[in-house]
Amino acid sequence: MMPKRNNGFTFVELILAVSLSAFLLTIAGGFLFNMTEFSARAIADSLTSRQLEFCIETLRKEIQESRTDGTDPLYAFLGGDGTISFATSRTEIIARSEVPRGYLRIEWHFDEARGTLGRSVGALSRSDGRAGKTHSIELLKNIERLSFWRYDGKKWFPITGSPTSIPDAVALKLEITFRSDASPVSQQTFSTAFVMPR
Amino acid sequence: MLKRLSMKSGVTLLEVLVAMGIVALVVGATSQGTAFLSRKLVEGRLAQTARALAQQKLAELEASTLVKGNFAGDFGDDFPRFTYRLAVDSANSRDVSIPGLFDVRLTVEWNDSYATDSLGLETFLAEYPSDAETE
Repeated sequence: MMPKRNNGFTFVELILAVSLSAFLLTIAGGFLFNMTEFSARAIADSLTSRQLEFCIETLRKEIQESRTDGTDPLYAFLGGDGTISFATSRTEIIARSEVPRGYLRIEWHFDEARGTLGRSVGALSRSDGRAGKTHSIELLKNIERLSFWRYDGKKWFPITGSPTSIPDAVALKLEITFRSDASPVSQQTFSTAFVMPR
Repeated sequence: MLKRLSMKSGVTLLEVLVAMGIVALVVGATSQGTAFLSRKLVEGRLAQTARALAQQKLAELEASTLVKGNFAGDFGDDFPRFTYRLAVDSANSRDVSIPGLFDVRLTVEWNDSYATDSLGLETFLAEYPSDAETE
């Protein structure tokens, strides 16, 4: 008589195992997908966050060390729609090898079409009152709106229109609204301020 | 006569269930880790915003006429989670106040769906010079 063989599963066991596997794999797959998304988002956030910190610290130092002279248009501190521009004698930190020494005019400019914040620097030229040959670099991307505000000691006012002198500004505020899902901060709008040199 | 060996291959339902349990534990632990990291990311973002808002408030104070007292407020509709508390007092040295110098204590507080947190800083600010003094 042949001995009874007991190998393999019954049909019910197989159905149960396959169902459980499918259930767990669905959950695990969801988590893996979420983790991949999370990882990509965290890397992008970290990069944007560092670029934002770099912009803020650079702006803070540059504004503090700007040379402003209300009586000489060459050294005017200009502000307009998404733009500020000022003269400085500080050593250039971003494009040191390309930029001539001496007085420079630096411009921070929001390009609405591209959604970027750029910084241009060039030699200060009395012939046109603005920077000569400029060197530009894009420092921040995915921006929906960017505005500069001036503080007169009591209230904040948005700086709008073509770049003009803002002699009454004692502090300057930068407000950035990032495109949705691109903000490195808790909400889409980021805001900070800088004291103008006295 | 050849003796046929008894074969017992495959796994029982109990073994499969144990294996599934282990997989479920691993998935659970991974999800906990992801939730923790996600939470830390949000906390980091909120703290970065709070630092920037604190800098903004300090810039305002540095460029304003300082008034002694305790104040509180918010940062507008764009930052509904953030509020601040401000205490401005005369700066003292050996119980003698120093004219034109203020002790400023600023606390920025924020809350999200999980918890409330805050960032505090204390600094000395000199009175912003009037136009007559700067000329």
